[in-house]
Amino acid sequence: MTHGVLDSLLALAQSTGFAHLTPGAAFMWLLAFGFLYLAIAKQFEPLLLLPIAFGMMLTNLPLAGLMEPGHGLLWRFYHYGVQWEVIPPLIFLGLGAMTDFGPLLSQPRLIFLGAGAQVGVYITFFCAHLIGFDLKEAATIGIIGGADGPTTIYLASKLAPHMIGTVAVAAYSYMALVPLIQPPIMKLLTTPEERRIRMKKARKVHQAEKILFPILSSLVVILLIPAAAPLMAMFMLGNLFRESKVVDRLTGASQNELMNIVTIFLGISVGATMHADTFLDPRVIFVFCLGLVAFMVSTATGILIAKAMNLVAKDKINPLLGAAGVSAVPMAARVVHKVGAEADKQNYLLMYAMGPNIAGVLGTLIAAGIFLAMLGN
Amino acid sequence: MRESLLVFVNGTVGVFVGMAVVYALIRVVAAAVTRVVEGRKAP
Repeated sequence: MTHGVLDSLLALAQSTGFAHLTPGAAFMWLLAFGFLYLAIAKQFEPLLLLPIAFGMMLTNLPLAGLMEPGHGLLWRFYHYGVQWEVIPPLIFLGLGAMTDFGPLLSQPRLIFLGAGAQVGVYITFFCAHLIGFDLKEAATIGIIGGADGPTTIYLASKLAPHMIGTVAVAAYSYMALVPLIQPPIMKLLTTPEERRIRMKKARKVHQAEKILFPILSSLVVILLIPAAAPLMAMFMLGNLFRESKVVDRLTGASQNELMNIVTIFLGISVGATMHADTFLDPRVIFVFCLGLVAFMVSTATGILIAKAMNLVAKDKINPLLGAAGVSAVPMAARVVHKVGAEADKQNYLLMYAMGPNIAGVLGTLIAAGIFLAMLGN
Repeated sequence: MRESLLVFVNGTVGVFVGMAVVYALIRVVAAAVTRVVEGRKAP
C-alpha cells in the first residue's frame, strides 16, 4: 500500500518539469530574466526584447513542448511566421508606411553613404569566414552591421536558422547602444572642421516624386536583385500607402495595428529559438564580438565614403552623415545630429542624416538580397 | 577563402551598383517631374 502511494507520488514528480530541469535551461532563464529587466526597467528596445525574453524563458521549460515541431504553439508561430517568410516582410510593410523618403529624394547623393556602410557587412562576413564560420553563418553575422533587425532575422531564417536568436539579440542590442558605440568612431575619423561642415539647403520634393519612387524603385531593385523581392516589395507597398494619401486606413493599419501584432509574433518566435541546446555554444561569444565589429566597421566605412566623396564634391558633405548609413532608424541620425551639434550648435544635421539613414535600410536590404542570391542554394 | 573573397567583392560591388541605379532613378524622376510641373506652370 505504502509502496503504491510512493510510486505514484514519484511518477507524479517525474511528470513535472522540475524533475527534468537542466543547468542549461536554468542558465537560459537567468539570461531571460536579465533581458526582461533590461526591457522593463531600462527600456532597452522593450518592444522586441520583452517578447524575445519571454519566448526564451518559455522555450526552456522542460516538457512544455512549446517548440516541438508540428505541435508546439511557439513552433507554429515560428514555422508559419518566420520560416514561411510572412512576418519579416509584414514588418517591412509597416516600416514602409512609416518612412518618409523626402530627405533622401531631396539629396540623392547621400544614398552612397548608405551603400558605404554596407562595406562593413562584407568585411565582417569575410572575417567571420576566416575564423571558422561557414559561408552562410558568416553572412548572417555580417548583416548585423546593417543594423536592421527584420532584415537580419529574415536572412538568418533563410541561411542559418540555428543562429536566428543570437543574431537578433545582437542586432537589437547594438542598435540600442548606437549612442555609445558610434560617437567615439565618428570623432576618431573626423576633424572638428569636418564636423562643422554645413550642408547645402535641401530642395523641396514634389509629391509626385514621392509617389513614383516606391513604384519605380521596387520595379528596378527587384529586377536587379530578385532575391530581395519579399522585403523590397512590402517596404515599397507600405510607402506607397503613405505617399498616395488615398488609403489612410491602410496606412494607419500598417503603421499601428499590423506592426504591433507582427512585432509580438516576431519577438516571441525569435525568443523561442533560443533553446539552451543551441544557444549555449562558445561560438555565440564570437557572434556577439563579430556583430560589434560589423557595427563599428559599418559606421567607419560610411564616414570614410563621405570623406572620399568630398574629394570630388563641389558642395561638401559633413562626413558625420556617413555614420547614419547604418540603418538603426532614427537613432543613428539623432546621434549624428548630436555629435555635429557638439562641434557647432547652429548646425542642424538631423534632417540631412535621415537621408543616409533611410538609404541604409535600402542598402542592407540589397546586401541581404545579394547574400541570398549567392549563398541561398 | 576564395569563395568568401568572391562573395565579398561581388557583394560590395553589387551594393554600390544597386544604390547607383536607385540614385539614377531618383535623378530621372526628379528631372521628369520638374519638367512636367514647370511645363504646366509656363504660360
